[in-house]
Amino acid sequence: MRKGEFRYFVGLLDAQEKWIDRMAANGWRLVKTSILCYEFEPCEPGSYEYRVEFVGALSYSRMQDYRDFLLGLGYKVLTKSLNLNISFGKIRWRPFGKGRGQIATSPGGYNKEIFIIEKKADGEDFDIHSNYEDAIAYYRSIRGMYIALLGVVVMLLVLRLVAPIAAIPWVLFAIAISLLLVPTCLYSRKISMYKALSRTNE
Amino acid sequence: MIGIRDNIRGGALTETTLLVLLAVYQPNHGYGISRFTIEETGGRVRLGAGTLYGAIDTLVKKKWIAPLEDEGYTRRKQYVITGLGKQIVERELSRLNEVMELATRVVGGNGNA
Repeated sequence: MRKGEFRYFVGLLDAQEKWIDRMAANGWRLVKTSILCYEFEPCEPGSYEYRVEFVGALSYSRMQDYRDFLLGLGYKVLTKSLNLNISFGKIRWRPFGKGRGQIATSPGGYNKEIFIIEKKADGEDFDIHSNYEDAIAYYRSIRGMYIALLGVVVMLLVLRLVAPIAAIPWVLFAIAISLLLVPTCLYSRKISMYKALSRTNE
Repeated sequence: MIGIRDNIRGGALTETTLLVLLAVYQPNHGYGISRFTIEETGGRVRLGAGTLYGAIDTLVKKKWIAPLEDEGYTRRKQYVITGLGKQIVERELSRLNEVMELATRVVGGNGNA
């Protein structure tokens, strides 16, 4: 018996990870993902663990390579979309991508900004980023996404100021900016914490 | 206060780098490198998948390790240390010996500190 659950995490990676992990602890193993839906199958409670990894800054070929690497380590990998893109026909601009990762085209990075990595629970630690330098680089890539989105909102705000083409309510700008500032600050705090630690330790 | 990064002056390798280099003296794939570090450090160092992926990528770019040509249908890529990589490890080994000698001398050594 399968069950589907609809959830939308607006790009909140930690909340998503906790939720999937809790489902597994309660005996539901994630087997399939689509744009807004997660499908689960019954399993022995607590037999799987999950990590949610942001890969939206990677180019498509690099993402595939990373996925193969994870599979080679014995993990299962599901992909998920962040739903934070600007699409134009078959081409999508992902403001948070790096270099060629910015443009996603079919059949590339469509709906694949997130890896959900599954491991059979074996009592071993399950950290994806285990040293400070790498963790800092990873959190920077996530923060970069939020900063890029902030940039887009600010650009729209400027447009709205100089040429009121579309009457976007001002309050929407306020909401968008404050919603994006929260994760930006949280990740900045994480980054500076790791930086402080990396000054004396590795 | 100027935060001088030790590795710019002394050329010390990070532990992750050194362990990955040691793990590929024999051709090895990601999973093998991961097991090597866990087993050889008694579980003290457990490289995260993302960290290991980044480390391998960096070392390949620096030509300290090289991917082996695909032998058939194995999906796992194998890597082996290069001549340059071995030089780097040997230099690190003598640096570590120096540091250990110094620390042992200062702290007391032989357990009678």
